[in-house]
Parts: sequence; structure tokens; C-alpha cells
Amino acid sequence: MDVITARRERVPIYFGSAESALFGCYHPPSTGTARDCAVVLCHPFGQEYIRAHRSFLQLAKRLTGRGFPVLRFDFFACGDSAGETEEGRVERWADDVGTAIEEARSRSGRERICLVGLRLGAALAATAAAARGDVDSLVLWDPVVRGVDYLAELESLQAELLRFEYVNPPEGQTGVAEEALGFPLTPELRRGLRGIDLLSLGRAPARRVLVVESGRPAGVEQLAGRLARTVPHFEHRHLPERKVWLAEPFRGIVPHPLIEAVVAWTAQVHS
Amino acid sequence: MRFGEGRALIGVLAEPAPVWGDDELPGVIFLNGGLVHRVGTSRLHVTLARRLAARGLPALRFDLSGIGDSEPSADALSPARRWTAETRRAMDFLEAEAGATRFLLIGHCSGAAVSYQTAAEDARVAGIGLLNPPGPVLPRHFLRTFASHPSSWRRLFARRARLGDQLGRLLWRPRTPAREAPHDALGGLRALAERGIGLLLVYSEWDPGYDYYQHVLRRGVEGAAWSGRVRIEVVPGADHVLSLVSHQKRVVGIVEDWAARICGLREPEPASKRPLPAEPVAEAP
Repeated sequence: MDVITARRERVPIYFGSAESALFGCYHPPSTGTARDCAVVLCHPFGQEYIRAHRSFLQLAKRLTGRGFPVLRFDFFACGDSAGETEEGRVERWADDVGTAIEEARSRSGRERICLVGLRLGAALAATAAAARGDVDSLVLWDPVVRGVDYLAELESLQAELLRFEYVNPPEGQTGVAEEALGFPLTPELRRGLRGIDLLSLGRAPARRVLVVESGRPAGVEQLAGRLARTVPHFEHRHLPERKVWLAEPFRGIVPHPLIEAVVAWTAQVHS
Repeated sequence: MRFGEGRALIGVLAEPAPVWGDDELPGVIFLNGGLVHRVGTSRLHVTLARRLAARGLPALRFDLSGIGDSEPSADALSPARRWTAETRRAMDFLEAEAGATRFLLIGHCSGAAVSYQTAAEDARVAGIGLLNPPGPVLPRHFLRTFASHPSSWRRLFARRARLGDQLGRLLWRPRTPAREAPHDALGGLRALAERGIGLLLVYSEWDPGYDYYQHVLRRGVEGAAWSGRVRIEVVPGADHVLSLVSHQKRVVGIVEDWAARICGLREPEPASKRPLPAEPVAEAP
């Protein structure tokens, strides 16, 4: 294995088809033992994406420090990627994971892929991995297990916002079903979200899977039970850290122990 | 795009669509509000940058050092000094990249403060769009919210806020008003307007800045000789971070219209004829 000593900077990129390009940040490995695997990070959705951005950057930095090339990317119609926010669709996002995998392979020269996803990003990563069958390892961080539970949670958070924050919806608009914490939930997006169910994946998403959670997400015990039976190398860890996707950005919260657990597991299974 | 000292700053440039007859259009720069990275609260900067680019203005959204994807800075400057300097580097970058020589700076919350400060220091700034700019929180803000928004009471009954804290806020008075307002905000706005800079102040109805405007700034602005340079907008029902999509759309409309008037832009093309937002692909390593 090569030892990399030169410090190399992250590269902002657009990739995928020209008319609907995805934004990403490619982090070459910085120091440490060079790995034969590239890591693709899958963001959560909406306000959770904005709140988790800082933690994902820290996660990417630590992975590069352990010799992994890393690609962070924004799904279509999210972040800096092409598309109006209202155009977000679950089916398109599942394809985006595949596009990001191919980009990470071509930039890093590594064939093996580890996917790390948070919340909806974890559900999309698991779905794409199960459909493709070429993902080596998978980290599901507080995964959305069933889309119906996720929608109920978003509606509850939106209702809470309307009840307790200093805001008034326009006359005649309840604002609970149509949007979630500043991001539109179109009928098409809701339909796609309702179709998500990690308990009915056709096959194991990867040979090695880590479920790490700080919030006992709905359905995670059943998911862990299924993965324990179908995945050769499976680990489930509960770390009671701050739920970064619920924390206002100005707090700058980064759950370091949880991030370190993800990095340590990834380094161990790809040693 | 990477730029600035050591190429430490990262941004995304929405390249302008070609337009007829407008040879000297300004560039637009969006500043981070708090720790929210360059996409802005609820992706507001992305939407606005693409709208303005489609009307011919090059629009850069970037991360100040230590925020989003930009590297932290090791210099000894205060954050305010550093971020002003970095915004000026962003103008240099946009000048070199897109040929812009005048600039509109747009920012929410702390980004509004950086826009204001940079305009005071750099003659290239043609306009600043301040979205819920920070300012001293007046005691009457708490009185107003308590008296007229049910969330204050709901928080109490749901035990999300303690009665003592709420009463404390009602009775709160700034001990050192001079420190709360280290500069003369009205004088600062006047100085900018008299230099010919277009000013846009957008307040959410429930933002503390709205009370500061109503009770401190307003009487100085209204009727002043320079008030023609100032546009004030209030978004009814909105909170500080524009949590509802309808409020975001209202702000996008206000900012787009303001920028169009300052730059003398024509009416936008119908959506179907608009080119797709063209954003540059950064170079491979």
C-alpha cells in the first residue's frame, strides 16, 4: 500500500449529464495509508441537508485523513445541483447515487465503493446499493427506514414550527402537508417518499453494513434484525449523540464521537 | 470555483445569459447568513442567483472562510474585518472572471452586515440587499411578539419556555445601548445612499430588526432627500429564516425586482424560453 504524504485540496465539481448536472466536492486522500476504496457521502433532504452540511465536511476530512478518497454530492434539485427545488423526486435521487458512484470511481481510480448516508440519504444509498449489487460497504446513519414514518415525522415538525415559531402562514394555507421546514413537498415527492421501505429490499445492499444511530429511528430494530440475517458482516451501534439534522445551523454542532465511529468502522473493514 | 488567498474560498458562479444592449451589468454576490453554507436559507441564494443570471447578471455565491466548504483562515483579523476583505476578493474574482466592475451584495442576517460593511469600504458596490439585517433588539420587540403572536403563550403552556425567562425578556432593557449599536446605522445608510448606492431592506414581520426599523430608522429615512435610493419591504407573517415557501417566494420576487430596477433590466423572458442556468464545471485536479 502507498503512503500519501502530499496535502491535496478538495475540488468542487459538476458531474453527470450537462442539462441536469450534480454538484459535488471531491476530496483526494490527504495522508495515511492509501485505501483501495472510495467513499461516497449521501446527504439528507431539505433543512436536514443544510443542518448536516458541516458534519459531512468533517466526516469527509477525517476519511481523507485515513487514506480514503471521498465524494460528497448534492442530489438533483438540492444544494448547488441543477434543478428547481420543486423538481426533487425520489426516483431521480436513487439514480443520482449511481451517477455519484461512477464519478467517484473515475476520479479516484478505485473500483470498490463505500456509501455513507444520513437519514433520507441513507435510505437512498441502501436502495441504490441493493439495486446495483456492486457496493462493497454501506453505512446507514440514523436511516429513514420507511418513507411513511418519515413523512409523518416531517409533518409533525412542520406542525410544531407553525405552533411554536413566530410565523403566520398565508390565509387558508395550513402549510403542514405541502412543505417541510422551508422545503416544498410536492405530491410527486410525497408519493416517492411513501414508496421507500428498507424492510422490503430485494437483496442485501452490501456485504458489509454498519447501522449507527443516535435517535432510535422508527423501524431501525426491524431493519437491524433483517440485515443481521442477510449481511455477512453487520454491526449496529447506538451512540446517544446530538441529532445534527435537528439542530439549527448557527449552533455549529458536529457529533464527533459518531463521526469517529463511522471513520473507524470504514477504516477497519477496508484495512 | 476556488479563489482568494491560497485559493481557500469556494463558490459557485451562475453564468449570465446573454442579453441585448446591457454592456455594463453589475455582478451579484451572495454572503453567508450565520453558518448556513452558500446555498442560503432554504436554498434561497441558489434560486436567486439563477434567476438573476437568467436576466444577464453574473451571480456568485461563495463561502466565507470557516463556513461551508471554504477553509478556515489563520490570519489574526476579527471575523468582521476578514469577511469584508474576503468579499472584496470575491469582487476581484468576479471582475476577472465575468468582467463586472460594479456589484450588488446580498445577504441575510450576518450576511447583510458583511454587505453593509463592504459597501462602506469599496467604491465598486452599486447596491446592497439586506435581508433581515441584524441590529439592536429593542425591548418593544418582546412586547409586540408577546402581545400579538400566540406562539409566546403556546411556548409557555407547552413548557417550551419558562415564565421567568419570558417575563425577563419583557422587562429587559439594554444596559449599554452604545455597545448595542456601535455605529450610527442611520448615518451609515445615509452615507451609502448619498454615494449613489441602492439600498434594499427586507424585514420579516416577526424579526427583531423590524421593530428597530419601525422605531429607530424609519423616521430618519422617510422624507429624507436620499430616501429615493432606499427601498423598504416587509414580509407579513414571516419569521427570521423565512421558514415558509410562500415567504421565500415573496422575497425572491422583491430582490429580483429591486436588482432589475437598479440595473435597468428589461422584463424577463417567458420561463419556457429561458436558458438553463449555466454554472461552470470546476477544473479537475
